[in-house]
Amino acid sequence: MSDTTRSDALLLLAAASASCASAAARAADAGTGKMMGPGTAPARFSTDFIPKLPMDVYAKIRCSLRDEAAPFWYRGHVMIALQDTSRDPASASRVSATRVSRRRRTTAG
Amino acid sequence: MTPPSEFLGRVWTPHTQGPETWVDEDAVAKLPSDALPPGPHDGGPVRMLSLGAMTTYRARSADVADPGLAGAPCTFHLRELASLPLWFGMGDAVGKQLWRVSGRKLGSVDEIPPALPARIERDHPGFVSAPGL
Repeated sequence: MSDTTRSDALLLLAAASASCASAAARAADAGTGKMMGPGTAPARFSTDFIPKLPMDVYAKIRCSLRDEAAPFWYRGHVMIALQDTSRDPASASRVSATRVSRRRRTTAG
Repeated sequence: MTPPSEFLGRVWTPHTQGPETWVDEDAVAKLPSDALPPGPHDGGPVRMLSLGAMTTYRARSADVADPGLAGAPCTFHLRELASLPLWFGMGDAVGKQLWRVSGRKLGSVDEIPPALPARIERDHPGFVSAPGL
């Protein structure tokens, strides 16, 4: 695997991780702010290659299956913990357990 | 002036145990809300959002070692602790969101479950056919 490919994989990590900031549109290219979906990959890999190095293994698992951007399908849940700011300052940092799970949202299909 | 985004990511050494290989990927980031795509948050004040995410990708060891495959099919599982986004509609509430997400890599957009493409097309016209990535 070329250094360029490894670099692509790292950029992919950056993009996909930053994506987690939003449930609606996931991932931002750190340089441009362009939003991408998780798992979208540069897919520069050729066949006849068996990865040995850790980053190569990572890239092969993380990259798309074809020479195109690949979607990741997912679904999940979110819990929201609200900080109780109505009490005295000493307890303000305590998360109210009664409010955990106050709202739950399911994404994707 | 909008502060720049900050990002720190780490990929851990993959593990292979018999038929399965998995790799962990961690990330923490701070980014301004205006770095997000156009959407329900438009028009709101720019806020700094923070997040921490831990993801595991799991594949078949045979697929990883298969020179005939350019990429290995995989599933993934993510946990994320992040700021409350404006589109939650929670105003100035102080708190965090904790996500659990599981899914898998698709071979192409044709494998997206039937109910989703119409919704994506409605909310983001043209994205599926030309995501512009």
